Amino acid sequence: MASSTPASASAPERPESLAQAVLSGGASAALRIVQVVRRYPFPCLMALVLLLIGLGSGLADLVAPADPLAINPRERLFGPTTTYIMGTDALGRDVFTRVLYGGRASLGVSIASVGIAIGISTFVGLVSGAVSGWFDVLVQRIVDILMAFPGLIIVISLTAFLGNSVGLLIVVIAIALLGAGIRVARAAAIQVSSQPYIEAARTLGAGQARIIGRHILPNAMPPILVIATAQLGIAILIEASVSFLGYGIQPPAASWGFMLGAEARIHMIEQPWLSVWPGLAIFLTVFSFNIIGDALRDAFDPRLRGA
Amino acid sequence: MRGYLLRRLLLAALTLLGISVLVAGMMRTLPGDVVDVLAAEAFYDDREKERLREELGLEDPFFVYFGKWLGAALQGDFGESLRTQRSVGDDLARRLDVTMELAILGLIIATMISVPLGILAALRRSQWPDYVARSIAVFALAIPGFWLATLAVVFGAKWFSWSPPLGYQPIWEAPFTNLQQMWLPALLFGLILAGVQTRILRTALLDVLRQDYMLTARAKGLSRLLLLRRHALRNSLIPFVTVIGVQFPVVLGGAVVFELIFALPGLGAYLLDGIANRDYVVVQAVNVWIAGAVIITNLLVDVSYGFLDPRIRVGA
Repeated sequence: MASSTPASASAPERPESLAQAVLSGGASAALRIVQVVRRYPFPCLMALVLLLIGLGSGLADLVAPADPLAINPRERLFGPTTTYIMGTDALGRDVFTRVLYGGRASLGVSIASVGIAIGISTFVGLVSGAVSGWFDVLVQRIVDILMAFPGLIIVISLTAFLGNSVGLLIVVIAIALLGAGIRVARAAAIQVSSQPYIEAARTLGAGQARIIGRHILPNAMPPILVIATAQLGIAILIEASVSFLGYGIQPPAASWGFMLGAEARIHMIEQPWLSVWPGLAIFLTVFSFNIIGDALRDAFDPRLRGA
Repeated sequence: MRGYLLRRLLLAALTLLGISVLVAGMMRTLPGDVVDVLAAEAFYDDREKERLREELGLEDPFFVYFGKWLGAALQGDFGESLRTQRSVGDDLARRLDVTMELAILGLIIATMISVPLGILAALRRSQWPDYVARSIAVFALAIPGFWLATLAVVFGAKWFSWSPPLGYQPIWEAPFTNLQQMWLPALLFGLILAGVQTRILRTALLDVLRQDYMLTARAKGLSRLLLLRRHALRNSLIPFVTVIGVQFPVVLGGAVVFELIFALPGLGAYLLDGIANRDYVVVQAVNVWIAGAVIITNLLVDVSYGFLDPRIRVGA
């Protein structure tokens, strides 16, 4: 910060150096990307795969070759052909299109629930780690309770009884993820709190809120980012399992889990490809999140490299 | 030690109480009175509906209702199923056998896979055995269990004309038939669980192998095998046992899906039936039981630290 300010202040006097600065800035950014790709080739590849899955699902309206709900009884249970690259299902709907739309549901639900879960658990975890005392004890007991619930079972119980809305599904998955998130954020806050610079800030008269917001939060971010990535994968698996059991995303809307579910299983013997594509999509997405999470952990904590 | 155990038991009881309140509260606040649903299906008139409400304690204030439920539950009485009128406690006990068998077989298979893989990966770090072991672990982590099970059933039927036998037999009565039904779900379950275990064991072993005392022991002329068994594995046990404890809720959750696909009448299937019948007495009991099983497992794991590593004085 300190070194860049004088440079930009002197820039108007020497216009050619501004252009140079921009150029070299671009070049160094490109160089940085090349460095990252070289150091982590496989995680970068998986990030690309994830980007493709995300773009394909997010822009499903534009990219998908067919209507996800269009029924065509004459062309049902096809294997992969040139028109239907992943074949068709029991109602003659294009499986590739439905995998794209299903990805939108799966990714949307998991990103939203992890966003909520990480937001709450960062706040609660950091505060409880930084200010020990009764609040910390209370939070720990609540975490114990949250961790004792098997995520999948609580999600199924609640969605089945409270009705099948996507909003509810998101909230319930977020609840299932809270315990682990709070635990990680709290541990990070405790570790950061013991650093001398926190003591220094306190000596300088910084209040509790300022210390947590300006000093602990940024320094506790790496482990929180790693758990967030891991939880994206977990959320996708939970959403898929719940939809698989028929309590998540409701038909006729597409979802990866439901495409493998009860109704589909009947036709899978006739057309086994039906059981391959949605599962492959779930696997690739979760696999990518895990690989990226591992790479982030390595990058943040070199001691763990290759561990 | 005794004080520590007592404190942990008290804490576990407190957590279980919190969970029971939470579950009961959620069940009570559900929209759509259970009685209305039941009545609509059974053509009850208003008088019968009133009687049913009274019987279920839905007219009582929450804490009276909860107090009654807890009092009965402490004596092992979890009420009667709204649908079948059978004792939920008896049904749970019978179904717990199935789920426990699946969970234990799965964990045994997972350990049989992960221990050799983890050791191989740690001893041959950054060589091909390590890469192979790590790839298997990462694959296992990302494969949805229900997909693997679905593929096994679909392609088993397609290629080998094999399908899971129907009609469950308890292991105590017909061990052979029982294992015929259980081997495949247990194997797939084990494969999935082996992923995390392998990674943790490898990391823990690498951590131990770096220690100075390993070098000392080697310098003293200890054989590699003895070194591995006496020093490395012993010291890697704690993270490994912890992960098995942490896996337990996942195991029970995963059991729901495996039981559905392989038609096994365990706790998971009981929960799904209860949900389908809107039988909230059953759903409440299953949730509390599963949470209880998780709490007890975590307690056992924590207490086992003291035995695995005498340096750790639990409760000190």
